Amino acid sequence: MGYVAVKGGTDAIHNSQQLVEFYRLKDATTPLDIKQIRTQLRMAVDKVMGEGGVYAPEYAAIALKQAEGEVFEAAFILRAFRATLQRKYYSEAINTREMFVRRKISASFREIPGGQILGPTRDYTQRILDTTKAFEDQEAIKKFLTDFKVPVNSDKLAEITTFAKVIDLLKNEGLLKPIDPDEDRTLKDITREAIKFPAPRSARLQMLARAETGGLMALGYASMRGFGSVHPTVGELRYGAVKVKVKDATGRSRYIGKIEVTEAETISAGKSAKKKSAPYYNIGYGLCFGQNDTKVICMGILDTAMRTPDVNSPANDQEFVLYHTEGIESMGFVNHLKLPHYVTFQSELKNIRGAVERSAEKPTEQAIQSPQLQSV
Amino acid sequence: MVENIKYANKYNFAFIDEATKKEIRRKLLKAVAIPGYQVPYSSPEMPIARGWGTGGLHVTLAIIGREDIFKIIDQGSDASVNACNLREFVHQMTNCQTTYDTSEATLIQTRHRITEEELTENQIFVYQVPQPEPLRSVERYEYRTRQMHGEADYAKMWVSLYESYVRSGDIMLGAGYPVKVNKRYIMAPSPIPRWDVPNLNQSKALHLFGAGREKRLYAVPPYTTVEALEFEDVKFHTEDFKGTECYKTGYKKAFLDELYFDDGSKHFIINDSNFLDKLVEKESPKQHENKYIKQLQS
Amino acid sequence: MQSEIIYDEIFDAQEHFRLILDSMARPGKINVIPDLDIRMTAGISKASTLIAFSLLNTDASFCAIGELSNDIEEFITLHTTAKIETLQKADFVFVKGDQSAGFIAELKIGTLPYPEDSATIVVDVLNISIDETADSIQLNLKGPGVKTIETVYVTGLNHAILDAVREQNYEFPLGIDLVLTDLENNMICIPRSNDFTYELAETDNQPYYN
Repeated sequence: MGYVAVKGGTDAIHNSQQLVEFYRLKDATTPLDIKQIRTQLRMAVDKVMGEGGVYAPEYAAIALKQAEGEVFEAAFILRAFRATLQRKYYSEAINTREMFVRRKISASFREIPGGQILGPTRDYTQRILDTTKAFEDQEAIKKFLTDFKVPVNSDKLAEITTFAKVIDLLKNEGLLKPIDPDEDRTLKDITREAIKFPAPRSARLQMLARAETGGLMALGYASMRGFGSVHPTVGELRYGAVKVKVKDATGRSRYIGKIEVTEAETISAGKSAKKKSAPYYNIGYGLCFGQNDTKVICMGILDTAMRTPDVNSPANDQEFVLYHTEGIESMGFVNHLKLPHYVTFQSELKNIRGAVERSAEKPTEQAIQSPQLQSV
Repeated sequence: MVENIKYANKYNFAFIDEATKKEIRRKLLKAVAIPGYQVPYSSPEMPIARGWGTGGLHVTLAIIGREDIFKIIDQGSDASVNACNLREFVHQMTNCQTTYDTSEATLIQTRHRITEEELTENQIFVYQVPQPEPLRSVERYEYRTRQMHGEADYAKMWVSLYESYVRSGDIMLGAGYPVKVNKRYIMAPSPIPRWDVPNLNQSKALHLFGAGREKRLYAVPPYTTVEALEFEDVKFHTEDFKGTECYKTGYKKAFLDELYFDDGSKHFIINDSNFLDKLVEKESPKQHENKYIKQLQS
Repeated sequence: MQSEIIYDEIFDAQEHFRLILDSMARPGKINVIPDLDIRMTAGISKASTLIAFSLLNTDASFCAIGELSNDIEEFITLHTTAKIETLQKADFVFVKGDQSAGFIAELKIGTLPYPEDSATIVVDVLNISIDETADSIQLNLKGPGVKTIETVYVTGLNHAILDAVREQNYEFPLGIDLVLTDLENNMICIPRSNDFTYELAETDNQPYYN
């Protein structure tokens, strides 16, 4: 009997895998090209890389294709793939002051050094369903590209170098919170050791960088709306390409390539802990792979919020924020409820039935609602 | 554009890289040295979802060798779909022999059951753990539960058990009943039924626990005292299957599953698939011995 | 790993780890680490070297003390890429059995919330046996992993080290874990949970240690 049953389970899995493939392919449409996904579904690829925790657009595109466009699943596939890669080097800290800027805006000043550069953003597009996209063809794309290039002045483009940061203006004026000498500034690697609480900021920011955008948004929004007190001004948000360097065995710095990142610095006024001392500004920081404004702004809010613990606001609670915005872990655990639980259920059933028997009347509300002490 | 060779998949023996294996191994030694204490570890992602046995897999894959004979059960059954999936994964990654026979296995991974058949000194038993922190229900913050364990301050836990008794006339904890290990740490035995809890006490085998999502490892060495939490006047007890028996074998001294047939009739059957098979084949597997089983009528 | 060493980083490391795990889970149980033809450095036993190979890598730190400790450290870091650390911070400490016991008090013993942040000492002794030998210390081990009581005989171990370990492990879960190896590749472990006692052989020849 055992063998047959095991065979049944194994067969069921295999059939289910076949069905997944079938549903992806059943209409026999033209196969999606990885390059198409990479370029035309850029934002999805960026999200998958960010949550997957590895900068590899091509692999992210493959994962998206494999997962039929399900971003959670694709990020999970990429994260699992990432875990098989050896970490050969730690890069030097990237310098976003040297970013080749594609987009750079500040909400805090009307004019900033280098000017406001909107760059590619959907912020000011009208969100009207563009039905012409249904008929887009190669020719239309070619025509658009040719027309687009006409007004671009390549000389001017070459002049673009790098830009100072908005927060430097505030820093030079002495308005930023001074560095707290007691702050834990150790550099953790959350992929090599489990996070411990209270976690240093390095670990918190790493967790946020790999967190799920929707989760960050829910908590960041909650903090702004009333269940918290962080409602910052976007000091600067920039998106562009930065160089990545590693030190080789001889200690020489080597350029290994460029990655695209979005960075936000959010400004909130903070109260000084001491009475009568002057107020200051707190900078919340966010950085993630690819282009994802929502994510970095919410990172900024939560970074600020977590630095002032407050039990009344979920966004200010490190453990709450970091554990529950981790999309891959949340998704896995929520979905594990689909696994059979009949042993654990039977164990609970025995208790409930016992309590019902003990009680002459109907079961009391309380007996039934008695909390499950162990998550199963 | 994309050449296939670029994406050729090649995995290390047992999938996990050697650096991570070493980390897990070092931490398992600490876990064994401090019975019941939860050691944090890096817990890298696996190609299995979080909450589906990643912690158990980390332990299994970090300790497994070519000579091991591997068995895996989920809810007591070798045939459960997730057990089938993980078995296939471990087999593909190690080429180890797999088995359904409890006594033949050297390494057994489980979700939520201890085998009915007694474990031996030559076996390692690996648990998949969803929530390693037994105090989480009474204290939500990790830094505080750590402190409570550190100081062996378990007052909150005892209060909650007492409240449960006052409210419902019994300690209403089902699977994953908290235990005290080596008279020191309160530990979550993973959501095994209460039926299995006494079998952890003075077991001949080494028990290793992996909670992947929560990134914790812990252990119960062989011949270690493991006691279910109870009061002097309100005792721990196992699930009561009084008046029922396995409809296939007539056996009464095993954990039973409740089945409903198409005609609405209710039947019970031995949960442990291999134990059931052996009884059906008229073999007599040696069962765990504990005072709760002894009390039962056969 | 260097090519002149015949050591399989995957399978030898795994096999040896399982023996260490078994000894750690069953204090006093003697396991024999298979005799591999590896290149050695003077001052450390083969079994201890193989334990270092099995457990150490770049994420772990260690130190060696006593005679030839610099050579030993250089050798281990070359073959495992583990970090050399001070005695106070090292995860693993390699030491000879005749070492005076003062170093034990220096080792990290963890904190109450994180007791695992503590040292493991790997000690080279002359002989580990279930039979009494001349000048041996009789170790009686009790606690998790031991059914009733386990007795082993060890020679070439400064008993003051045992006193110091007992002292350090008094405030369980804080403490250090001990691995003993001998010239025949025998190994036993004494985790901090173990409540051990020892008796010296009744002889005039008990070696003198500081």
